[in-house]
Amino acid sequence: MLIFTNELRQGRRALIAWSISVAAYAAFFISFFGKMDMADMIKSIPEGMRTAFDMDVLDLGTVLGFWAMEGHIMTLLGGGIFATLIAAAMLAKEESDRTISFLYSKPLTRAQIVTGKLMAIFANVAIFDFIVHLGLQLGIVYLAKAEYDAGTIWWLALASLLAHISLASLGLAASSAMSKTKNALPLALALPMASFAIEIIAKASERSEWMRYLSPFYYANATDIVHNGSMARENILILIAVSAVGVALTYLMFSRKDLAA
Amino acid sequence: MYAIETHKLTKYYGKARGIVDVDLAIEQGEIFGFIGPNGAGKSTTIKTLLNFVYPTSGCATILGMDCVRKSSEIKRIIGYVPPEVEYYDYMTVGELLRYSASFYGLNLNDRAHKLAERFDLPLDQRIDRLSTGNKKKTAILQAVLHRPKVLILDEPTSGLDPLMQQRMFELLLEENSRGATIFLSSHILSEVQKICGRVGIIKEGRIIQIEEIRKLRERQLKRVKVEFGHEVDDQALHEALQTVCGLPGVVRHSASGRGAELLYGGKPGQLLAALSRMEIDNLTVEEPSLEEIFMHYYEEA
Repeated sequence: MLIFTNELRQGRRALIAWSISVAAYAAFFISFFGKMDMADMIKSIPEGMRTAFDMDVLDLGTVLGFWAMEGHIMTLLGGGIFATLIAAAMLAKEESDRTISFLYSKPLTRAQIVTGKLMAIFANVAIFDFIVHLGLQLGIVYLAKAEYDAGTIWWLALASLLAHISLASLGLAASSAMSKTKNALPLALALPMASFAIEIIAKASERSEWMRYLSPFYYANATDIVHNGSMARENILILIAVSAVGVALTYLMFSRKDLAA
Repeated sequence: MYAIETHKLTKYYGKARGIVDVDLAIEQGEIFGFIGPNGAGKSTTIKTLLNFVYPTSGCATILGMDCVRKSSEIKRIIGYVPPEVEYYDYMTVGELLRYSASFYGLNLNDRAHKLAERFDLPLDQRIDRLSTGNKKKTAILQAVLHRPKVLILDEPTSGLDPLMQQRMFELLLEENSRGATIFLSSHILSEVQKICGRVGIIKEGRIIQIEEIRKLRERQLKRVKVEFGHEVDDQALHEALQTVCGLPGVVRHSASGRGAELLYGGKPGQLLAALSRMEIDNLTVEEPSLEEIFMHYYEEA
């Protein structure tokens, strides 16, 4: 609990900066809704791109269809970078700053240290996704001035949260396997970037369609949610399972680990 | 029950040797000095005791609790000073001490203030602005703040000026008279010999000697310097030096010019009998420093 509150206190500035800027992006993006002629725009886009952004499936005449086209994937990416960044640094930064020996000398088990850090990461990601989707709704109401279903937005928020937590868990597992922040950070960037690239590229052609299953972003894709009004149960379970694997690996590796000399 | 006990404690980092078969038995209330050159395994022993690293084989207990399985219970009753102090840069000294105390569920603000005053440590200064000496003081304070039963200090004297070393030793003696066991490592024996009851010497990962300071001094080793007169010709000088250096009981010797310096542990009579047959200009017999006694151990082992 002490580690949790200390981490939240220490990370509050980064959290505020990240969530406000991504929320501002969401509001800015959605403000274009209804301000351009979608039919003309779509005709000018090559077919591959059209399928990549689900323009063939989505109803671009609704504000959430417009958002699902390419707004959602960008907030997934932004939040993914934020989540893996804080997760990867969470344990590794203590080791490279050598402050970890302070925690190790206190009456805490290794598992308690991981739990404290894990809770801090989850709380950060949850606050981030809450603020971003709050920003999106403010944008819809005040800038786009459109009608929308708030339930669907919170499904999008939940999907983002689950995708971000699964990326963060993988990032945390990776960082507990290494001891230098400088190794953890590139990896933190690679995870969400790769997820983003796979999700976009794989959608564009049928041959690479199977690759989508490798990206956590696929399971949190907006098209299905906007189409169905909720997130498919199997997608929820898959993202939770990925997170559980990452978390379990972290506990396992961190509690058997020697302090770097 | 021992305060600290290890049995064949061994740690390899991959193939690199950390410590090998370390056996220690430190009584409650002892002040134990752990002496060895850099890289001998002092810090590895301490890190293994605190479960910062896992032992390769062997076992260790602190107040009867297993160092691996009961590590977090052990942390409740110990205090630790790291060799290189690195704390959270963004905290002030006071915040760090409060953060530390909070892990024990204690409010120790009064004690923190008193100790900080005594050590001239500014509580409102940020950790990243602290000098090396002040960082060390912060480490010592956070280690003793919660009145631990066992204090483990890794190179506590490094970075402290003599006055602060003195104050730290006073503090350690106070903690000790309260009942705390103190285990401190150093590569400089003379710095810690004042307060230690016993010392263990570690070299290349192995304990080579554990001895009471008192006994070390009583081992009767003497430093003997002889100088031969100029009337002795080269041939005779050479023989005389050989005789002196070859006496039984000479554990270390060096000859230079017309003199010889011996570390002598034999019977004084034998030495005098041999010297009385020679033309000697100058003779001094003195107590060797503990440093020298240890050098002797190093060379022997």
